Amino acid sequence: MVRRRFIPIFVMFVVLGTIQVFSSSPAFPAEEVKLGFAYPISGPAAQTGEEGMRGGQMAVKEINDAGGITVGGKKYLIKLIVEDSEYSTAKAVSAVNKLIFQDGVKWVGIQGTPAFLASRGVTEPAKVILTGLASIRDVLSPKTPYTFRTSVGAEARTPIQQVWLSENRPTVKRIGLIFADTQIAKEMVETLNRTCPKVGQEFVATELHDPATQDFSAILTRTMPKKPDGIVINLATKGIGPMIKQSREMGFKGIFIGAGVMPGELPDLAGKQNMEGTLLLTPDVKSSVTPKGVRDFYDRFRSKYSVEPGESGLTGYLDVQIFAQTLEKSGKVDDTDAWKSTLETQKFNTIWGEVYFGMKDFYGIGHQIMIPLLITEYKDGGLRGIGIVKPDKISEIMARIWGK
Amino acid sequence: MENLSASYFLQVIVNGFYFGSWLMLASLGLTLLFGVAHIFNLAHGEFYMLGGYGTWFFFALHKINYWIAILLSMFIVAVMGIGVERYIFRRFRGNLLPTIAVCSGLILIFDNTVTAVFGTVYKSIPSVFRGSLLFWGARISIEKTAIILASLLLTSLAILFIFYTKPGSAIRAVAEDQEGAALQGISVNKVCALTMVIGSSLAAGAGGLVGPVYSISAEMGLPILLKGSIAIALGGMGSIGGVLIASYIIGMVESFSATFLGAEISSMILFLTLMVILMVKPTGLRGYTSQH
Repeated sequence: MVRRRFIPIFVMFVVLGTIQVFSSSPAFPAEEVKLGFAYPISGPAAQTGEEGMRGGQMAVKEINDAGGITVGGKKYLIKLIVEDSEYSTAKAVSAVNKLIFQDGVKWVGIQGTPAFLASRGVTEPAKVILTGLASIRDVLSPKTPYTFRTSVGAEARTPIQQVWLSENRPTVKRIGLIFADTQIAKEMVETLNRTCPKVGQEFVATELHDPATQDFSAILTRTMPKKPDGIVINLATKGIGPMIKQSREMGFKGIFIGAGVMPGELPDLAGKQNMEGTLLLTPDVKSSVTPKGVRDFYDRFRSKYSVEPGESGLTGYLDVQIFAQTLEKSGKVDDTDAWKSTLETQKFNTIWGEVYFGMKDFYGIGHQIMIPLLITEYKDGGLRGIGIVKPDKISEIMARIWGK
Repeated sequence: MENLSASYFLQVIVNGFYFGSWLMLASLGLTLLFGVAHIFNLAHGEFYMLGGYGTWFFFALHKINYWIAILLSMFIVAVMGIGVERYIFRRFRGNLLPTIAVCSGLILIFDNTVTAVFGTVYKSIPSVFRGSLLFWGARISIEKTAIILASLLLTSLAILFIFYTKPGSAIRAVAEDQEGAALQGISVNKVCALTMVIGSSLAAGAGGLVGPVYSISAEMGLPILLKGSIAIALGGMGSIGGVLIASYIIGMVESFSATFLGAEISSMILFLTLMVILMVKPTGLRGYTSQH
């Protein structure tokens, strides 16, 4: 009687054990390492925030599907925790606080210059690595040793664009600036004041506006009489589509020089015909000028989400790649000093190819990612890659313009 | 100040006239509803926003003719307006605080619903009219010209309806004296519903018309509510003529101050203008003291 009762139970355990052995899931799931993103998923920069979040999520999925990362001989899956910063400094700080002190995150990716600057006040005392997308050079400093920038700032992008224009479009002489009045704007004005005379251009107009502006009649009424050949614009603000449209309606026939990260939706917002000739630093994924890793990333992103990733999607993906390789190379899952040392000394294989952090001479600390910049033009309804500026050339131009 | 040529001034005037025209269309419903039903509809900007989204949905997404898309949006928003009036505003007619509370709730509901359905990414309505008109050195896009003409047409039709039709007479009677109108056999509830139809559909029309010029987003209703509130305060609460005049005053003040002094100062100038006029005439330009 006892034996008969035990037989079904015994069979059940054999079956379950067999299923477990042949199951794709491990008997005991791999441990997790956490990465936090404080991205603007809502608010005026929601487009770029969502792109960045998706880029990060895609990278995490690809790494985890391939078995995760190996640190010190042990397997770990990456857990990405995303908090909405709403493109607000206060909300970003709150999000970062939650990620660090509630979720136990020791590496935070962030997007947006104000958020980046404010969040350092939380991450630095906590010795948490902070990476991400920010536009001004003040984000990097010897006083913030745990902060690294994984995007190229306006202090490099703008001189590179102006140098390229002076060499390739010499008729573009009179430069205007129509920019959202944010921390970046002051730096843009200083950068253009410094760059334009050195490349034979004239900086003729400066118009700063509320980031929420949708009607640019007054600004364009003041700007058009100054006859600019090129207007530097902030691609990441919500009014940029209407601004481009209204500029063309007011008779502007010159080129737009895009500063910042271009959201994938911009051609639809501005009208493709209005964007003709716009100079950008956004990759043309059909061009061989663009590194293969970036082209493949764009294909996968588009296939998964049916939209363009934009540069913030690239940065989100890159942040995860750098995070994963830093942990693997350092051999540590929670030692941020070891991570910092790895970031400062190692090279990383990414969608951009091999990258590293440098430019200590300019920033006082070598925490700027060295990736190439791609010069693209919006032409015939799409992006066209027309040049690539490699890291050593970027350093050379920076030295020429900034004297460092 | 630079460039004080005649064409520069003309440009500023043209900009102001455009702004005043669509503000007039967007604000007319707000003053009507206050005048007739004594409801200050803080959710008025949401009808404007829904009109923008509706036009985008029908025209940009489903390729329906632009003008039909606007009319469809106006119709849908008008139906929603009837529901809001019947089941929400009617209970609080004349009571300010409960109205503010329910309007705040409506704003949250509409904003969050739109964001949940359409996402946070801004939408754009493709340009319907390309090119611009140039006259005496001043330039205006054909699109903005169409907005001015459509705003004038819709506003004129609304005014003709109110002043030259029987239902319009009923609206004016209820606005003048609700009790008296009721004693004459006029259904106040039906008149309020009709007013809501006119007001909400005009706001939706304004939202659809400016879609090709500005981006469509869940936040686009708030600025129009603020400017519309200034327009009806300046023109006189409940006064149709007042809001028409006030809209163009606001348009010109904004255009001149933004162009010559900067956008950050233009808001201050606008409020100063409002304060000065209200200090001289507290009921607004065409307002009047009444038992309401």
